[in-house]
Amino acid sequence: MLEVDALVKRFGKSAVVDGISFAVGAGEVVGLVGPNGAGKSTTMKVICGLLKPNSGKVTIDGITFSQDARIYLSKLGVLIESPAFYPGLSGRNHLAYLARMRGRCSDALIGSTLARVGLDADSSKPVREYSTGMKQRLGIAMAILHQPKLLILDEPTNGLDPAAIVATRDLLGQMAEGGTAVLVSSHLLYEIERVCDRVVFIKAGRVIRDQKIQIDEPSVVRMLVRCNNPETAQEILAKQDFILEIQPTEKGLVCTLSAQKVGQLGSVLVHGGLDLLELSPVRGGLEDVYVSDYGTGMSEGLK
Amino acid sequence: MMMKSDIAASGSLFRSTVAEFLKFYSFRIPQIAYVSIVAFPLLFVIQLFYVEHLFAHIGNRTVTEVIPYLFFASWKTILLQLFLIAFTAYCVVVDSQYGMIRIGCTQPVSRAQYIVGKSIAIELHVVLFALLYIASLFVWVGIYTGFRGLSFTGLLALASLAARTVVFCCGLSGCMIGVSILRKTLLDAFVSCCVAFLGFALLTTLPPQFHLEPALFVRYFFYPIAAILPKGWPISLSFPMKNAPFWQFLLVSFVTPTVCFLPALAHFHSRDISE
Repeated sequence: MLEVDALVKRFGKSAVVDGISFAVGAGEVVGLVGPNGAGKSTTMKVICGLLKPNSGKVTIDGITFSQDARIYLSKLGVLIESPAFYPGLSGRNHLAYLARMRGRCSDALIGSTLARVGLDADSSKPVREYSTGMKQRLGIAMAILHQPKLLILDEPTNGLDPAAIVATRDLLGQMAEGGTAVLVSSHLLYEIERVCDRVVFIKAGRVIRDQKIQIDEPSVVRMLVRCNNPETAQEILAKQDFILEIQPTEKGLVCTLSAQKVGQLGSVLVHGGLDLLELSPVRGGLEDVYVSDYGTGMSEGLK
Repeated sequence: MMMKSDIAASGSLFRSTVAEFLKFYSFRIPQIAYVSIVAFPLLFVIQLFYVEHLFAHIGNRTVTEVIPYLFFASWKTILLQLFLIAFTAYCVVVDSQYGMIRIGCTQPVSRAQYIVGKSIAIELHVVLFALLYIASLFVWVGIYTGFRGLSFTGLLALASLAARTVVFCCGLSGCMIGVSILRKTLLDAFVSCCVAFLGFALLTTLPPQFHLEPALFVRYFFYPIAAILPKGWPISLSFPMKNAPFWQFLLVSFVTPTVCFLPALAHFHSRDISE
């Protein structure tokens, strides 16, 4: 569906996108991940035809933007950067404007799209009265209005409440099941992990990793244990067979253990007479990959 | 024979024009403008007819003979022209101002269709504004004179005035579209348009050996004065822009905005949409 081949985009002398190549197939959800300034949004803007590439090629169904912009763009649904609106126009009027541009303006289509993102009740309000989450949902509605073959969403879950995030995730899943190719960028790695089939990691305008998401449940987990007496806790835990490793940290004890034994971990400490203050999983998966590829960046600076 | 791609392209342009035309109605600006355009000559009606007692000076005239007085008084305040400049600048730049250009330029229309469609939509609104302006002059004067002496010839003269006003307004708006396309914020666009309008006006003050006078677009704005003053006050039935052949006026009103628009279109077609 989408093929990006050796794409280069320079602003002045600096190459913001420096030879990026990847593909998104029909029905596939691909995440674009990278730190701020890595070139994610620029790549998306070039794909959408908003920025002209210096070299390289982008094709949607084998057609490039320069070959036939009209056909190329007819396959595309876009939410780039923060959603853009006319503050005085209602949500319904925004969709009507876009539907007229596409020659498919019907109340039924607009109504069903608004209902799909949960905005039907507020569709007549001017957008200036919308919350951040409502604006984000309207942005998604504007992108999916015409059932695009390729959906490009830049930070789609920004400002959404947990219920709306789940709904957006479901929506992307439905779109993909319907054969839509989805390219999504987000800093919320657990969201990317849940919704994407594949993740493309970008650093300094280049693809540094292109990998499938592992959906298998991990057999071994790492848990953070915080209690009133860490030394005693470490002694108690060291005697337990199911604990594979104990690592004291500033925050508490990080224990590596079988995923099935997490319940026992808490009860052992409580039976040992300790007050358990925190027992939480140490995040891993995509976040570990991210940190190993990019470092912690600003957080290290803050330290 | 028309190619399939040509038909599709003209369909895209039509859709873009319709979408943009109706969008401005959603902004409520045209509706407010209609009320304002009808109301604003009333100020001059009060001044001319009730304060200055115009009819005491010019005697009983027919409705079409009185309209030029009201036209002259209201047209020369430049309020209508400033409104058209502001309206045009707003309509062109509003997408860039709010980032909606990212959405507009990812719809299935080419950049050229997008901007040409928007320009046609703006010009259509300008035509309606100009016609409403002339119609409101007719109605206000008609109310005052009781539509006395209304004749077919008079209506033709009124139609001629309306046509020239529409052409001038569209030409002015076209020039401002060209200027506004080069800008990205509302304030920038409005200031640039005002400067451009002033620049056009100042061109007319250059000595004749430095320019081709009939080719100066804004010169046609000043025609009523040239036509009226030598004949003293009160005026006879001298419609504005009368002393240039209509074809010449039409040509200049088409060529000048085209000269402003084409480079802007080329720039817009090739530029990065980064806002």
